[in-house]
Amino acid sequence: MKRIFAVAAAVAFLAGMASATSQKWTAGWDSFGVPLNYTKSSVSWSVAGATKKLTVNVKLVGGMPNNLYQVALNFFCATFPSTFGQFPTEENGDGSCISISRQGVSQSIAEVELGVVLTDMNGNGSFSVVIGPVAPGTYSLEFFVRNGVGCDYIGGAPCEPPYSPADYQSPGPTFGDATTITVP
Amino acid sequence: MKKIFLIVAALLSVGSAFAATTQKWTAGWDNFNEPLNYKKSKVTWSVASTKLTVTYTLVGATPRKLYQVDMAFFCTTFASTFGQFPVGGLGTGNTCQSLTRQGVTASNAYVELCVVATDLNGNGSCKVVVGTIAAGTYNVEFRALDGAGAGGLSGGAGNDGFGGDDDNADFQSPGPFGTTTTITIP
Repeated sequence: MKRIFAVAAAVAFLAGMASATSQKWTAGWDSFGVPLNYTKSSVSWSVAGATKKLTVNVKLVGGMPNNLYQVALNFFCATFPSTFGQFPTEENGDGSCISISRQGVSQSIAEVELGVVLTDMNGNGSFSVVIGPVAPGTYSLEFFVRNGVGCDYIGGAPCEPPYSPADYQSPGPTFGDATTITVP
Repeated sequence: MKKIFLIVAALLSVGSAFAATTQKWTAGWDNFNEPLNYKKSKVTWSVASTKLTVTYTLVGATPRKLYQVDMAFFCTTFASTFGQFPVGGLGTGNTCQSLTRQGVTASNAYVELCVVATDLNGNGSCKVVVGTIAAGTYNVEFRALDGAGAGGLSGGAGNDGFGGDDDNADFQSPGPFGTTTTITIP
């Protein structure tokens, strides 16, 4: 009986855990010569269906030392809600997505700023965030990392060019290459 | 045999885990009116061998704001690095710089560790593992600054002079200025 209970508990535990998907970074759609160890750097994400929460872990290795990077999501969309979990969405006032062109590709996007990676003397740093509850749906998006912080936040640098360029994107390598995340 | 293995594994696990210390934030030492739920906000730290893990949690702060969090060491001289991070605020000969706040004068050096970016509710956290740290006893205060970019970091409000007050302390722990936590690295 004890063994059956232990196995049942283990199965229940594993069922509640969402397996993480790990992706590599590619050079960003604004900057293409900035340093990063693309082999060791990654962005991983997982969805916990029961709680409708999305966990994102960003790891930068060999970036610029002692540098502030801002992590964001670009959703490819026609319209989008005003919030994504506990975060606000940057979009047009009527809820339609904003048309932009990068790397010769035009897309309509809504943007969500998630947080900050501060690198150490070696250019290494990481950041984790749990977003949710997220509205059920299928989301087409790219992760990206800005060089510098302050877009849609109080207390940082300006957001306009030449500040806060996109240094890294995932999946990339071209703006518009998307990851699909489904929240049940 | 299986039982012995499990007991040994459990003992090893317990032996490598160190109890975390949780501290509350207090206001200041530069700004005293920044909103925060002081009951729910905290700093948690633990030492394992030569590594220090710190988690900064802010609840009910200003929504959508960047708070750079760091450690302020109370010292006369200090090393140029603390783990993998550079130490700021050092003068000639690595002397710690004198500062007067809340009626107390003390000498400090600073290590910038991460940034809390708050959500729509003013909540956020960040966690960092610092190491390898030189053995010693460190007298510190944890701080949350009013913005990001202080301490010579690139890409924040302090870069090119934006913001201007990003090196001001909104929250300190334990506080008030000069009241320190002792962290011992064996």
